[in-house]
Amino acid sequence: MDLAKDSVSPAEPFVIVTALQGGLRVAAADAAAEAAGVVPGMALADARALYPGLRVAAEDSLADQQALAKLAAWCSRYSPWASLDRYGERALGLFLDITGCAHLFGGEEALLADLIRRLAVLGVTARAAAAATPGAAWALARFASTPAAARGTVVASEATITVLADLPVLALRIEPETAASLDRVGLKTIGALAQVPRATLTARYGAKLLDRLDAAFGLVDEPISPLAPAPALRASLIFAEPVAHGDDIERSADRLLAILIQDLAGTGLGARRMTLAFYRTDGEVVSIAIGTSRPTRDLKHLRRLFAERLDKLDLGFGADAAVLAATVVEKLPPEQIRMRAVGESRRRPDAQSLLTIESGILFTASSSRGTGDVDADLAALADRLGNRLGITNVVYPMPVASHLPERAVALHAVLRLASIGGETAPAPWHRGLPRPVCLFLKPEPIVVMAPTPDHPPVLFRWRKRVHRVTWSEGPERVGVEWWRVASPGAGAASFATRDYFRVEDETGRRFWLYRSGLYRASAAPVMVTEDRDADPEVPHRDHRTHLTLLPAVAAAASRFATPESGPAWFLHGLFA
Amino acid sequence: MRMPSEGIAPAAASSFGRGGETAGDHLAAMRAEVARIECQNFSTGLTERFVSLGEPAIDVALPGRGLALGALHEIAAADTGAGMGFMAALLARLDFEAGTRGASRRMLWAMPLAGLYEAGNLYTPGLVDFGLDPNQFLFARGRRDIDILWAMEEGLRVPGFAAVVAEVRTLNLNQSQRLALAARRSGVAAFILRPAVTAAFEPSAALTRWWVHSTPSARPLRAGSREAAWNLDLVRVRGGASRCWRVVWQAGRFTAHDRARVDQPRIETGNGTDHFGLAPILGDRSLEERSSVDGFGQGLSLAG
Repeated sequence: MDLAKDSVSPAEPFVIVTALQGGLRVAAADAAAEAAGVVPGMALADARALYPGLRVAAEDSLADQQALAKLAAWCSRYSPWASLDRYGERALGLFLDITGCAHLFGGEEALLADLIRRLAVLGVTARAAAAATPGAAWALARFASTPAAARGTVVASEATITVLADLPVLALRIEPETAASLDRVGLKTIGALAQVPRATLTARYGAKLLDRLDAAFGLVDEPISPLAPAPALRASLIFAEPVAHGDDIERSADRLLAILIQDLAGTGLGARRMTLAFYRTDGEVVSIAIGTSRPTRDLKHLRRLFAERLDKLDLGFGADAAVLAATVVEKLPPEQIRMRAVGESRRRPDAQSLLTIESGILFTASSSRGTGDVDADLAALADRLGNRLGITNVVYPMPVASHLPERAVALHAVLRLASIGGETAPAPWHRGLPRPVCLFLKPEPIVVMAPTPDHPPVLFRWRKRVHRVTWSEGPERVGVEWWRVASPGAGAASFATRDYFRVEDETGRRFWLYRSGLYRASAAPVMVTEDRDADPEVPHRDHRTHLTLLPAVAAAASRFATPESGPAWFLHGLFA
Repeated sequence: MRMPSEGIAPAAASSFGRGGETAGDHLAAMRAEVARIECQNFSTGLTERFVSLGEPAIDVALPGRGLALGALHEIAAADTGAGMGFMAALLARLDFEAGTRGASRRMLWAMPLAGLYEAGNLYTPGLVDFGLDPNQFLFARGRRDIDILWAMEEGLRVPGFAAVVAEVRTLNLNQSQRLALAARRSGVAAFILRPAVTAAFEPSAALTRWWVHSTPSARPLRAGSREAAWNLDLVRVRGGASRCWRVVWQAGRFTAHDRARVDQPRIETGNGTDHFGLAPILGDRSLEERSSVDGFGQGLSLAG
């Protein structure tokens, strides 16, 4: 498909120009301009000579790309496999893989007609073609006669070779230079090119040309990679009238869910991630994505997850189509399913009913509710929490075999794993020396006064307050995990041995401090690292007389690591 | 709460109709009647349960001789360590009780995002020291207080938690009423853990309000001991009087000693920064200004 936006009155010739080959050249021309003889590639001066009243705009390739990407998202209403045409340096069109989709729209012709009509409503003039190969469709959309392409050309797969035979070689998505060279030797059409022995062509023009030829004829497979991964299952609704109201939106979501749940049940799958997309009449696509902690096809639960966010959806002047896709699915065998009537209590656990929506009785399928009764409730809760707070913010702790306190626990997102039931036996939790109940994300630098070499501080300053240590325990030495690569920028300090102390100050607050690294043999017997001027009440006279004092050094923790000032101290946690 | 007026008259007649009762019996009967009427609005079918804190002195100060499940409790912490520690100790009691009852021991703890405030974050290995099993914990992290409170309310709607904790900085009356109602419907104990400085003077629908701050532990303290000591004020309790204790947590239970209220140190807003990361907005004010926020509950004593 070739797309050009006609936002201005179509009568006036209009071209888009770009700086190319030392001058401004026409990059794209509208129908009126082409009627006046202006063709892409022509110098702007020549075009102006042909038609002095030409309206000109500079090319904005980034905006073009963004508009095309948006249009590709819009096109996913027809098929999940929509991608940008990456031929050349600029995306100039869209590819849709409509395999198995066309019958939903009444056949390929009807699909193309619908596509072109809807694009015209959006103000986009499109040329479209459907063929057995992407190469053939590309060629036909660009090189078929204008009325045919504007209507939408459909070529049956057996007719591909005959139809392509009459098109110029440029239709093979080859470089213009190659096309010109072929033209000079008389190979003007694809049909003529196909007659030439292949070895000759490869020797003269390289393998690329034959690749393109084979791709167009369908002799080699050319996959279309979609913008977004194609969902495992999807259900779509097309509305006769645009819907914009809450009730209609909810009803359509319900219908889509019911359809998709039936599909999931038929294939023995449960959804982990779902996306509900509404295609607005103005060409925008708005969507909601939800995740669940375990595969589910529970209508009530899924509806609730969507319902919380449906009212925040901005449908503008209405949406004319909706697509619900199960983007991630997992196995959920049917034998684990038990039917339970909504609104009834669990006193009727074994109601043998089918999933029926139309009859007015709504049934929901929920996973096995034996011992997992509570687990299923918690999983449903985790889904609701995760969909509002963020999937990574509903977590459970898992022990990690590491002596570094900050690494000893890992928080796993509930929605990332199979379930929160904890099927695998977890590693044992730390049961050694006491651990604080509260840990700082980043150990906080403190200023301490501590006798060397391995003694706890006598006094320390944390967050501008001096704490006098009345009781202490330690050290607990935590070694270096030398086998781990230091994070960039962490420096040598993160690899220093830590000596942890549990201390209590005079008000009874209990802290977890550590000294990062060891004193050097040459260090003075006592390290006093504090800012004396700012803190006159620090009782220096309390020190025992045989200790000598080092002069005050800066409070900045960054300077502690210098060899002169000894190792740095940090406060890492708070005890109860 | 709207009372069904037609239901009161016969019920009242029945409780007063019998003769030969003492005034105390009358009072008890009336209380039971009021409780029955109040519970009519919540047709949960749950009988109210209470969890002993393992210390008779504290239990008797609480209605029902223990910490009520199906109610909202508010804990104001003067410092993060004491608050989290006391919270963990209470959860350990609930965990123990749920274990003996054979009920679910799962806990939901809703907290601010890690690193959102200057305060530290709950450190799960520390829970082990209180006898708790971290595998039973589910954490929900929110950016704003209303998200955290919403998570708590959602958690209270699900049967299957032994307790639900929300770590927030503010809680207004409306929110506390909502949560108290949700807790009552579910029969699950709900705890609000918040910095003491933001808790001052605010009305709340919580059944109990506690104020906890650190106190020096007893000497000599054994090496590797898990003992923790706090000054604990039961600031408010519905249907009871406020009390003060010095409590020690040891071997899975509290022991309490009465403490005169005058011992209560003033909330240290001097630097403010370590009270659940409250920004030090209070730090540089004059004493007069400070006293308006310091005066938490009764017995305000200003240290010059």
